[in-house]
Amino acid sequence: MSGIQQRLVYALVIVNVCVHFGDLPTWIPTIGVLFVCWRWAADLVRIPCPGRLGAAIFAAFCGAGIWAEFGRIIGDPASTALLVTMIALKALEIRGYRDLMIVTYMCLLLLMSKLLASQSIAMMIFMFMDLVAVLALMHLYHIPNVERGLPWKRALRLVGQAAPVLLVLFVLFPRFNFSLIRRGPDTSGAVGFSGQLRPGAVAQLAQSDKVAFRAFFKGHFVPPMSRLYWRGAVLSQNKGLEWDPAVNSFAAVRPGAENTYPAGGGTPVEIIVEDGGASWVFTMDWPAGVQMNSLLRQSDIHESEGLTYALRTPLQPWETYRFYFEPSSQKLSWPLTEVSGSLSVAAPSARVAEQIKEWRKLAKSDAAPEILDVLRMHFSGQGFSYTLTPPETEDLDEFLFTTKRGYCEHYAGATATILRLMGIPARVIVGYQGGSPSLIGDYLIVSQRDAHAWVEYWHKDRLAWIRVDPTSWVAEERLNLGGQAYIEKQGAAGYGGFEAAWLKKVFGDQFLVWLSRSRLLADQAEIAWITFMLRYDFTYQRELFAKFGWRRISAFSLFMLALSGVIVSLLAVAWVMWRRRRPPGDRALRLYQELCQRLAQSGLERQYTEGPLDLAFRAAARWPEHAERLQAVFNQLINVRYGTAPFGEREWALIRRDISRLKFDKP
Amino acid sequence: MGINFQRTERLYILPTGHGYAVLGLNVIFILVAAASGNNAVYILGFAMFGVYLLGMLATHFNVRALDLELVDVNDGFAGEAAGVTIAFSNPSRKPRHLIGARFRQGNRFRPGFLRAWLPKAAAAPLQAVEALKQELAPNARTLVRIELVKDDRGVYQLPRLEVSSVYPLGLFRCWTVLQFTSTFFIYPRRQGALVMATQEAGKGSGDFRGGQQDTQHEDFREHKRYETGESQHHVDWKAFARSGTMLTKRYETSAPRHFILDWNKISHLGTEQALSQLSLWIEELRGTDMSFEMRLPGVAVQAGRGWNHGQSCLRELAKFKVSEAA
Repeated sequence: MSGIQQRLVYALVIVNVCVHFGDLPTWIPTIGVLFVCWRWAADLVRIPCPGRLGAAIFAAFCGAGIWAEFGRIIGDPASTALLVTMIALKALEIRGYRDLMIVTYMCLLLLMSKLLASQSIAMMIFMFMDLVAVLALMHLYHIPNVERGLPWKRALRLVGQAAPVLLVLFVLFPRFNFSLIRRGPDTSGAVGFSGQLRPGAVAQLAQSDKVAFRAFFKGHFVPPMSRLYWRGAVLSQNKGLEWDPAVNSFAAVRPGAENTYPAGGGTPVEIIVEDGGASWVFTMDWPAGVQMNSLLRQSDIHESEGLTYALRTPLQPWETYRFYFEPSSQKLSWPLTEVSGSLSVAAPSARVAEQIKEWRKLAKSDAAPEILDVLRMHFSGQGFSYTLTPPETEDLDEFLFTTKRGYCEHYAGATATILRLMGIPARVIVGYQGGSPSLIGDYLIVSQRDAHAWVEYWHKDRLAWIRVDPTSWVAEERLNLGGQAYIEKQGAAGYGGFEAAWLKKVFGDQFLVWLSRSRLLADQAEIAWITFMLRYDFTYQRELFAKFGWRRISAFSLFMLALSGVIVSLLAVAWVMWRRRRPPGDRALRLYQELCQRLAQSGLERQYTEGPLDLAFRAAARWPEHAERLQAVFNQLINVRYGTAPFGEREWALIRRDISRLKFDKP
Repeated sequence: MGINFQRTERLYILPTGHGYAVLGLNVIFILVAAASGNNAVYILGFAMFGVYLLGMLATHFNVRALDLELVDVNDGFAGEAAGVTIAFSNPSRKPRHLIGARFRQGNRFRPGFLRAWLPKAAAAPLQAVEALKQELAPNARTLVRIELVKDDRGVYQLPRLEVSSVYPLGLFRCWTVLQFTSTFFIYPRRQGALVMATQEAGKGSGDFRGGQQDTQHEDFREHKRYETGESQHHVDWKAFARSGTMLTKRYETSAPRHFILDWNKISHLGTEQALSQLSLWIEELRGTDMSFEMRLPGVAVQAGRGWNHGQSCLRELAKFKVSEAA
């Protein structure tokens, strides 16, 4: 065991531990890297390094720490954390060939748990590089001269030779999906809705340019920007300018709501969640049903207040679901408790009460549309402004009369409160509005920039909830452009932590255009890959085979096909390897070896130091009846190998015939 | 004797302990992929499985494309190394790596999967008994001596030789078992304290305890043709450079020229002790140019000198039966 092998395996472990930064609490990969670095340092200079016992104590501490962090050991993030620390600890006490091998291939487990979190193109590239590195290292332990460096080429060739098997298995192996393993809640500070409405919260969210989800309309008509309202949660508990969801919102599940397959059709929209971590299922007005990508997950859906949906356990990264929507609400019937519950409101200040009386007078009617007209006039004419960086206000009074600046949640919260104060049932909806089309326009990218809040009020004549968006009164552009484009236009957008103005100054005006173009291009490629990876399941395989005329292929048939495919590709590779094994040419030598083989089988073995002439003499003495022919054959062979006389196909045929005529009797 | 794996010998292949572990890892990958519906993990599992199978093929071909020939059988003294010399040749276009060879003692059958848990197998493959530690280049041939130690003198059948390799990944072990028909001799342990005092022919008398003759005080007498097996100590290299024939220098010496190693004179030591003493004397004499003859009960080896003569004497000692002494 030499130093270079150990150093390479330390590097391999460090890389595979480091990829888990971001997925796990920072202390876990950090401690893993520290363990390996400790060992590395101990190899270089004389510092104490823990043995088996020390490693066991550390392992116990790490297990306890992980238990304290997650409250369990089994389950995705906890198991990954455990793996990270245990493999790092194993690297700490590498002793010989056996430990080196184990640590090397156990790194693949770390890779596997990383793949559970992400299957992006970049991650696939990393996977193949990691696999090649692992194989190259395992190779390295079995070649004597390690000084030549890592045998990358051999490892690459091995992966290349394995490619047919990989391809066959990928296409044919039946894709079971039990959905048993699911990532727990994301602990890495996921960006998303908290399910409450605090003034400033949506504005805060809109600072991030992270993608929330992508929506695929699959050739159906995409509603215009001004109607792209993605409903997340209904907030019906009023506390001044703050809003909360109903306390018992999950209790408000309608009987049978789990089976939310569409009853009456509607336009399907497929959503691919980016980061996960949140429980909200976003839909559009009015949802006719939500369909998760597995039956097990389907039972997790809850319908809560106001036809919104949430999951019992948070969404995983890249989880997909599909909803169906119908713009008309004709078929819907709303529970009356929902309506009557949407009237309670915190007591207003004197100034607000005064203002409401004034608005009542102006409206000349109790009907909502008239009141909203008055409110629109007020907000658009009294110097209210729309800003991403609103002053900190939690008081309705202060917002209406003093600051007059706010983001969508201020306007939505204020409007809904005012409506309730005037006796109209109203509630706040949080979600997203808008979305930017992808490069070729087949899907919409909804980012945190599109975070939005708006109002629904009860129209007592139409017996329906009607959407009204107070933001349109102060910043109509926001709704027409969508959040992303609006913020970019305002020049307030940042790109991955860099300010737009700074980027413009450094790289020139065209840079931002180029940047967003290339982002869209990357997004398109990434999504094409991810959707393929997500969709390639058993149903997809069946459809694929149906195209070739094999309808309803069973998992067993697929499995057998995969098996035979593997065998065929293995045989093919083996055949190529076998063909390339023997050096070309030297037919004389091969014929000579064949002849020796036949002589040996008849009891006359060639001695190690014996040349062809000596062998010929011995053979002639042994089988006098063949003496002449043996002499001729051996002479021919010697001539063709060492002589200069031309030797054509005819001579080859003759010599081969002569050899075949030699029949030796066995001793 | 030519052993050509490709046509005559059977190759066996089984996973090593690490091979079973990686297979388990593969199963985990597929189970996790199925449990999470994650195609990336499926890809990892399939790629690893493909590599696993290809690694198996690579291990197989590494041993398969190898020709073996038994070059020499080396006798040895008891407690010292005997063995065989095998020519490994690689008639293929790719280099061959990490071929190990060891004698299989006894007929114990240890299945591969049990082997994984046995402590011996945990040793690094490079520490195998005898191994081809350097890679064998295409069309290259190399001689490897594979050793064997026996504690008792006698004539032995060569045990079966196992030639194996775990190259390239250490996940599979491919091996073949060679059965030889040859025998080899284990000479009696060379030890003893007696002084060789039996001299008959030649002039003068004296004691001889072996070792090199002191040539400084002797006079050159004649040239003699060099015989294979003779010590090269007295080769006249200058004459060789002149004429191209190897000649050894003979000296007038006072040392005895001929020894008779007689069993009866030392039989009081006991059979094995006496054989050991003879063994030591012959070993010392055969490196010199002195002639000697050996007399055992029922066996007499005529006078002769040199390596081959010594070998035939030693072989008689190895074969010697106690009943013959009685």
